[in-house]
Amino acid sequence: MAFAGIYSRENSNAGGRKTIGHGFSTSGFSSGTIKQTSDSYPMIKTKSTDADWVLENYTQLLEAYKGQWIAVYNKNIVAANQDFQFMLDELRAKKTVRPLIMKLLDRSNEDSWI
Amino acid sequence: MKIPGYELYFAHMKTYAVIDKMLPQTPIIQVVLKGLTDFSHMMKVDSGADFSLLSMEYFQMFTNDSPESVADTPIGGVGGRRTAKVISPIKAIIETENNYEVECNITVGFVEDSRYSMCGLLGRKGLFDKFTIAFQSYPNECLYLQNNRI
Repeated sequence: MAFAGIYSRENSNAGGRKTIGHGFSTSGFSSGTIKQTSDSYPMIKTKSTDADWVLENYTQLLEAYKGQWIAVYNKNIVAANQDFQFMLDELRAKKTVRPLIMKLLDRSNEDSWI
Repeated sequence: MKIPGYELYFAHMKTYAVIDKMLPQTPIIQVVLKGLTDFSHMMKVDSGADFSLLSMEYFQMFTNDSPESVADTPIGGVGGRRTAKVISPIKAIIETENNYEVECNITVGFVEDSRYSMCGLLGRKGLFDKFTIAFQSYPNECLYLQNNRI
């Protein structure tokens, strides 16, 4: 299992708050040993998202939709337009549930985020 | 389905290599934003941001009012000073496997800046005061969220 457990802290009373079970402590991270545990809170993984799909296929999508507003649902482009409002109108007509909306920008030359 | 308290939530760090060449792993999560029309958006988790940011186009997704009807809020950071139209609270949901939903009410500033049209910023207000959040780069890139209500 890729993410077998979560990290707990030992001897972590610095912040006066209790460690929750074997989970990582809310008492801060300033001291103590970080140890990986396997018998802790249930790990709940975010579901595979359309954002994953966009990032995995970013180069190809950029070739087709560069500079456009796109709406993605179930790994499909369901609406795309240079104009946000037109894209939204198209999207609303399809009554898609919680689509991923974004503008597809070429940010390959952008500076690091600080 | 909502998760009862005291659970630990987990989200991938998205590979954003093409976009951030210098930072191939960036803490990006897909968040559902509840508004007039619910939609999902990529948000970069930013512990240095007081609140969340989206580009101005998304303003209309949350209210029928015009942006001009909302007072300007001055904001500043390493990118300089500007103004934002702030709406609070906005319900944000992180969807997980097994149809769990992690909810929080965030504060969002809307700015005239196209950088946030592709990926917004998920700042502290409403998120970091509800969850204890840990970023991990090794051995696996991931982001932990733990409910603070103990």
